[in-house]
Amino acid sequence: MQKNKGFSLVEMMIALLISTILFLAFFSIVSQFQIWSSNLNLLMERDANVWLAPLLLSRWITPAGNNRWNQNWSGVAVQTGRIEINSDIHGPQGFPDSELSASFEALVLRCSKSNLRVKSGSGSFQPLIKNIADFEVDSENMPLISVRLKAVTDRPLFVLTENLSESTEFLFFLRNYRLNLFSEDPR
Amino acid sequence: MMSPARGFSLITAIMLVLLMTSLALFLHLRITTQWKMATNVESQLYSLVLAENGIEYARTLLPHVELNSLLQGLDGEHSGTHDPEWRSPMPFREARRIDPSAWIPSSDDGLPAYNTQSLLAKGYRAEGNGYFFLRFSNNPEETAEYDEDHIVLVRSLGIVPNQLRDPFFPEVRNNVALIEARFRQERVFSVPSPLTLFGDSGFFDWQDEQFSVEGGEEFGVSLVSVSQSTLYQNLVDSLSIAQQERIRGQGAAPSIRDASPAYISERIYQSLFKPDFWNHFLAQLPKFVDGLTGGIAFLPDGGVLQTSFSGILVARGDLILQDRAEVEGLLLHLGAGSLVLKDEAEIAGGVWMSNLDSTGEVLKSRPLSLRVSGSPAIRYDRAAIRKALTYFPPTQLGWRILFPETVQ
Repeated sequence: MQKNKGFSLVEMMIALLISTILFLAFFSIVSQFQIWSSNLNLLMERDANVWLAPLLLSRWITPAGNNRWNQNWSGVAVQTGRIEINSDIHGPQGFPDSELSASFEALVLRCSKSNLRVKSGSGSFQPLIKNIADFEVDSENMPLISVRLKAVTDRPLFVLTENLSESTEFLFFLRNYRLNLFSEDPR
Repeated sequence: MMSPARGFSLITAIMLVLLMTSLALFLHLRITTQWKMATNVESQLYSLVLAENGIEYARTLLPHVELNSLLQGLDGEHSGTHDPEWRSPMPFREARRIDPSAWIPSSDDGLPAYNTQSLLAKGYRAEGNGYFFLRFSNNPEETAEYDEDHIVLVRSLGIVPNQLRDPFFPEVRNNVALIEARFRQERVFSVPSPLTLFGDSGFFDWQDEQFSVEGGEEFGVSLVSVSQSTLYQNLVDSLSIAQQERIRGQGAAPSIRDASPAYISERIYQSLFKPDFWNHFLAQLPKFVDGLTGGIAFLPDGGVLQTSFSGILVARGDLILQDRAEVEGLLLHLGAGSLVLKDEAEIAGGVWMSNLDSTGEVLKSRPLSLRVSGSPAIRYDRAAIRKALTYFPPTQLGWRILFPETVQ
């Protein structure tokens, strides 16, 4: 009985030591795993923003310039880091009504505070796509509009110090700027 | 009896396994969700691309169809406008939940068809299990059943069935995009006679009596005046009695009529009296030419044609058709210079002549010049004219994407 008790204490101490080493090793692995997981999350969010961009932008940029009633406004105006899109696409009867009063008929897109922001009509700029550091638009080859986006991660990645921004370029063909052999006069 | 140390190891091992499993599960779910999102975005984009393809299909088809037959469908009757989304191939809500491969349209109004044959009755199935469906409808400025201005709307619906089935949400929700384009099929050059002269004066030189201007059931020559005109007098004065007999139509000779009232009253011809129409047409024409073998051909400085041509031949300056030159379709002689028909040249279809000054706000006419020698023939051929007009691409008057909350 006496002999067994003394042996248990030593045994317990050795077991505690081994457990401590094991737990330390385990938590260091887990913390590494968490770092990888967190970094992966940030990169995935960055990529998701890039994936969303063509869908959102194509729905707004592609129909630019729908001007059935020959009104005196320009369909597309490009400035540095900013694009204005006008398109008479709706009206009270469900058809273009010669006014740019419905939602999303007069849009401005620009980048500020690491977000791509959109303004509809006389409203204020609202965030559209997160973590966009740079937004460039080129209308030199109309009716093709080139849009370049630089997506960044929400915050710096752990451990890694390299630049992990993702740049991408989209080309949008403006359907309302297609050449016509005959004039489009509203008769 | 089990020792306490063994129990401790077991608990530690279980904890380890649990932690590792939960972390792996978390990562798996994160990646799966991301993949689903990416696939969904891709499908939405694809549905938009398919809808765009549908519009391009309609653009190609439009010149070849008779609009009023198309609007009424193969059954020859328009089914009405009771459904708020009657202009679309199918309502948005239906498009989201149907199996596109099994869809049957409730009405055949405006569905693509050619020569009483239905086209794409079950939509077009593209790569990747995507579909597009089309429906034509009359523009809202006219009645739904009858078109006069040659303007139509076409709606193209792109559907990509949802590939990712969620066991918790088994109901199908397709990705759908709806695009509407507004087209006008130009008929301004659907000439009413073998020879249509658009102007106020002209110089005509008929050297022989073997030429032939044959209108068949139509007038031989149609004159359209821009303002005060001496064109009729110029033409009649240039013809001898025997030569007048060579201009036939509607069983009479000479068969010449003033078509100005018809041109002024018909909406589709009114643009011909506007300088912008001519300025735009002549500026854009070089970008639409096909070549000298057929289709749309443009000779800006005139030239000599001795061979066969089928389509629309547009020329400015002196254009000479000689030997056995054949034109099947339309010959548009625009601007200064003479149209010279010699030898055994033959035109099956129609000839349009105009010499206009479109630099000002008001269209002005300059003298036309036509010289005929030998035994050339201009024979009115409605089918050839109609075929030639199919080479003119539809004019796109609008293009927009429709959303469920705004579609009507």
